Amino acid sequence: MKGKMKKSVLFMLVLVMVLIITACSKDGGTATKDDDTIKIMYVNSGTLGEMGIGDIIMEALNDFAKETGAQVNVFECHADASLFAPTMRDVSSTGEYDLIVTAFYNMREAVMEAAERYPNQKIILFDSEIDFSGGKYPNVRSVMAKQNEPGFLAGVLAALLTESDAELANEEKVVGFVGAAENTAIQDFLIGYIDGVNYVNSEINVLYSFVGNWTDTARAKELGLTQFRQGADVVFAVCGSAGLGVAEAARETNNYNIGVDYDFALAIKDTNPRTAEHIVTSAVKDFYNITMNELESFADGSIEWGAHTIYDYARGGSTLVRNEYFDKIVPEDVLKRYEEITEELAAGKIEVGTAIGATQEEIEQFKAEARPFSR
Amino acid sequence: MSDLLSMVFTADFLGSVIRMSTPILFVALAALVGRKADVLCIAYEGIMLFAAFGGVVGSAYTGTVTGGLLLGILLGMFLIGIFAYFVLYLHTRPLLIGLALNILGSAGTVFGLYILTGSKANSTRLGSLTFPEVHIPLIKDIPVLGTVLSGHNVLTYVAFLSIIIVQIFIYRTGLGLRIRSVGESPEAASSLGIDVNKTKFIALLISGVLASMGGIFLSMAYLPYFTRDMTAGRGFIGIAAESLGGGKPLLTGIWILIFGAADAVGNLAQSFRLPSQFAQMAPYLTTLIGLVLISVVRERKKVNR
Amino acid sequence: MKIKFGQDRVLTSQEIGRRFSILRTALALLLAMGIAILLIFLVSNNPFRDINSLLLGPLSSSNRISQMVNKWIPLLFTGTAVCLFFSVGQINLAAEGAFFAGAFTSTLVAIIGGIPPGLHFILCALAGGVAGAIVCGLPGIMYTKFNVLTVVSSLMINYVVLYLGLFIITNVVRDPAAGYEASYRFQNTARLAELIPGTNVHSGLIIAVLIVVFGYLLLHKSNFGLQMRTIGANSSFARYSGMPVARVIVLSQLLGGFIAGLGGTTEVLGLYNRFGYTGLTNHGWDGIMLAVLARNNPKYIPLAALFLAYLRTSADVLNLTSNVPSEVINIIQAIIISFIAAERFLAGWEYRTIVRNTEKAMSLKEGVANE
Repeated sequence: MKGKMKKSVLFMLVLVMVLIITACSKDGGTATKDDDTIKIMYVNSGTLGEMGIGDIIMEALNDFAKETGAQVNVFECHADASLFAPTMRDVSSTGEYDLIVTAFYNMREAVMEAAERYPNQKIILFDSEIDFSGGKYPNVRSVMAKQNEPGFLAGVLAALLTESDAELANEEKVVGFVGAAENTAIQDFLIGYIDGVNYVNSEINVLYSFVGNWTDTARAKELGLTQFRQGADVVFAVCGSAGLGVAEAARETNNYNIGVDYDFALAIKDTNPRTAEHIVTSAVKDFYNITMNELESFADGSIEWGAHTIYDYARGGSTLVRNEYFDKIVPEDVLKRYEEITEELAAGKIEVGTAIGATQEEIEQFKAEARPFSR
Repeated sequence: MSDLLSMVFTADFLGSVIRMSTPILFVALAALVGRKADVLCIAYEGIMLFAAFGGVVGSAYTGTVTGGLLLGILLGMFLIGIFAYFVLYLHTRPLLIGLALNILGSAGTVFGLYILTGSKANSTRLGSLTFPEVHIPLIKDIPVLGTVLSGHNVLTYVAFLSIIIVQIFIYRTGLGLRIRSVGESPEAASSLGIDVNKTKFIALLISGVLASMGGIFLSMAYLPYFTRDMTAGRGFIGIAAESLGGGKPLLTGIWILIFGAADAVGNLAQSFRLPSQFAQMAPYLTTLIGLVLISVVRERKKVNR
Repeated sequence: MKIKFGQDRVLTSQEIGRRFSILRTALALLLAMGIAILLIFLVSNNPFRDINSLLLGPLSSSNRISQMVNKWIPLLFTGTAVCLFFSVGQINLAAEGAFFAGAFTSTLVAIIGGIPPGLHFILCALAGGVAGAIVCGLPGIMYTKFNVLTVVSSLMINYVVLYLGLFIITNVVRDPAAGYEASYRFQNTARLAELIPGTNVHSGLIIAVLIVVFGYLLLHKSNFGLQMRTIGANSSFARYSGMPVARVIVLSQLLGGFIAGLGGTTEVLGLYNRFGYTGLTNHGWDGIMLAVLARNNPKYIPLAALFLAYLRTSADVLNLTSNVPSEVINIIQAIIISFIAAERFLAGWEYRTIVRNTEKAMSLKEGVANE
C-alpha cells in the first residue's frame, strides 16, 4: 500500500515534469495576430454572474463573436480595485487587441490613464461618461444609458398599480424598493423611482431598503416580505440576481414585483411559472442592443471616437419590458395613463432627478421626497 | 418609533425571525458538533454552498426532492471529508484548509453551474424542486401562535428538532460520549482504546451533514434556486452563534433567535429610514455585545460559586 | 543527538525532518501543479499556452512584474501582523477589518489639503495605524477582560468595520464627481511616490520591508517577543512564571493591528488616487494564510508572500490570456494552497527514513561499544 503510494507520487512527478517541459518548449504567448479577425478584450470590473449589465455586455459580445467570427476574451476583476488600472495597462501594452470593452464609473480613471499612455489602443467604456473637452482621449468612446429613466417608469407603473384595481393591488398606498447597496447607480434608480411615484401621486409611501451585497438572495427575499407586510403591493428590486428573492416574496404574499436589467419573468417562466406571474415587468437598460450597435459600427468603421453618447429613453436606451405578464396584469386605464407618461418622457417634457454628479446632501434630499412610511 | 415597535410585535415578524434563523441554526449545530470534537472548522461557507448547489442539481435531474437532499448532503460531506482528511491525517492547520475550501466552495459551485446551465448567476434554468411547507393541524387555527408556529417549511421544523436530537446525541449516546472524550482529552480517550482520528472524522462528517442541511434549506426551501455565493456569510455567523451558546444546543438555539430578531429589526428599521449600513451591521454588533454580556454573566456565576 | 563517525555519517531525526520539509513543500507544489495542469487540460482550448502562463506568466512583462510586486507589498503587512497575533496564541482574524479600517481612516486625512508632503503621509499612516490597532485590539481586550473567544469576536468585528466604513465613505467623503461610491481624490502630498519611475511600484515597499524586519526583531530578538512566544506556547506556564499575560496579549494585538492598518494606508495611498473599496479586500485572510505557511515567523513572510503574489499574478495572466474561467483559476489556487499546507504529506516515508536511520545509528553505536 505504502509502496504503491510512493510509486504513484513518482508517476505524478514524472507526468508533471513532462508536461512542464512540453509546455515550455511550445512557444506560448505569441499568438499571431490575424489581421482579418477582430480581437476584443472585455475587462469586467465585477464578476460575471451577478445578472447585471456586465453579463448583458458579455452576452452581446459572445453573439457578436458568433456572427462575425471576432475573437472575444474576458478578464474579470472580481471588484478588486487593485486590478483595474494594471489590467488596462497590461492589455493595452500588448497591442494584441483591436478593441477593449469595459464598463462602469469605477473603471473610468483606469481607462483615461491607459488611453493616454497607449494612444493607439481603442477603448469603449460603457455606462460611464468621460470628459472629452479639448480633444482629449481621441481613442476612447464612452456610452451611457440612463438608469434614472427606467427607474422613473418603474415608479410610475408601481404608483399607478397600487392605486388601481389590478387583481393583486391592495387598499394601502404603499410601494417598495429593494436595492443591492447604496451605490451611485442604484441611488440613481431609486431617485428616478421616487420621482416616478411622486409624478403620479406624492401621497404614496415609498419604502426602500438595501441588501448590502449582490448575492444574498435570501435577505433580499426577507426585505421584500417586510415591505409587502407593511402594505406595499409593488416592490421594485434592483439587486441583480438577488432580486429573484424579492420575486419569491411577491409570490408568497400575492403581490407584484418589478425586476431589473434582465427580463426576470422570461428568465424563470419555464421553470417557475407561478412566480413569473407576479413579475409585472423589468426595468432594463438595453445594453444588449447598445453593445451590438457599437460593435457593428466599430466593425464597419463608422464609429465616432473621442465622443460621449447617451442612449436615453427617447433613443431606446432603456425601457420597461412589455411581455405577456405585463399585458395580463396591467389594467386598461393604468396602461393608458402609463403610455401618456412614457410619451411625455420621450418628448423630453419630464426631467428626472439623478444621483450622478449629485452630492450626498442632494441625494438625501431627493430621497426625502419619498413619503415615509406611517400607519 | 412606536410604528416600528408596533411592527415588531406581530406574528409575521416572529415568523420571519424563525425563518431567518433556520439556516444559521443548522450551521451552529454543525459547529457545535465540530467543537465537541475540538476541531475549529471555518469551511462551513463552502460546505453550505456545495450542499445548496447539490440540492438544486439533484432535485432537478432526479425530479425528486429526495434526490436533491441526497446529492446536497453528499457534496457537503465530500467537502468536509476533504477538510477532515487534511486536518486529521495530513496535519494541515484547520484555518488554512478551511480558507482554501471556502474558495473552492464558491468557485466550484459557480463553475459547476456554468457547466450545467451556461449561467454563472443562478440556477433558474434547471427547474429544481422545493421542500413543502407544513401546516400543523389544530395549531394553525390558533390566532397569532398559529401564524408564528405553523406554515413553515418542513426543514425549519427539522432544524429546531435538531436541537433536541443533537442534545441527545452528544450527551446520551455512546458515539456522542466518545466524541466529547476525544475533544476534551485525546490522550485519555486514546488510552481507553478509542481511535481518536476516526472519532473526530465521524464527528466532522455529522457536522457536515448538519451544515449541508443549512445550505439545502437556502436553495430548496427559502428560495427555489441556487444563486451565486448565496450563503453570504451565514457559515461564519453560525460559528459565532455556537460560541454564544457556549456549546449547549438549547442555549445556542435561543441565541440564534435573539440574533435573528436583531436582524429582522434591522430589516424593518430600514423602512423607517435607518441608514442601510447600520441595518446590515445589526446582527454582527448584536453578537459582539452578546458575547461580552454572556461572558460577564458567566464570570459572575463563577465568582458566586 | 548527533552521531558522527568519520565519513560514515548518520542523519539525526531533526535533519531528516528539515530535509523532508523542503522535499515535502516541493513535492506538494508539484502535485498541486499536476492537478492544476490536468484541470487546465480539461477546460482550455490551448492548454500549453495556458500552462505556460500559469508557470511563467508573472515574469512575462515588466508590467506584470510590477503588478506582482504591488501585490506583494500589502501581503507583507498583513502577514507580519497575523504572525504577531498567532505568536501569542490568539486566532485573531481581524486583520481583514484592520486593513479596511486603515484604508478608510487614512482616506479621511489624505483628502485634507494644505499639509506639507511627508508630514501628510505620516499623519495618514498614524490615523490608519491607530484605526487598525483599535480594530484588532478590541478582540484582544475582549479576550483578556471577558474571556470572549478571539476567533469569533474578530470575525464579527470585520463586518462591523466594513459597514461602518461604507457608511462613513458614503455620507462624509463621497465625491459626486466620481460617479460611483468613492471618496474625494487624495491630496498629492499624501500619496506615496513611485519607487522606480515608470513601473508603478510604489515606495510602500520600503515601509513594508521595514515592517517585516521590525516584526522579526520584535518576535525573535526582544524580551517582549520572548514573552509573546512563551505565552503562545503555554499561557498557564507564562502566567505562573509571572509574565503580564493579559498586557502582552493586548499589546501584541494592538501592534499587529497597527501594522495591518498601516498596510491599508500604504495600499490606498500607493495605488489609488481615491478610496474606492466597496467590500472587504481579502488581504487579512491572505495574511492568515501567510502566517500559517511561515509558521508565525516574520522571517519567512517575504518568501511566502512572494509565492502568493506570484500565484495571484499567474492567475491574472491566465485570466487575461486564456478562455479558462476565473473560477477554475480560483479552484487551482485553493488546491495549491491546501497541498502546501499539508504538514504530514509524505509523513509515512519520513517516519520510515527516521526509523531506518535510528536503527543504523544504534547499530553503529553498538559496534563502537563492542570494540
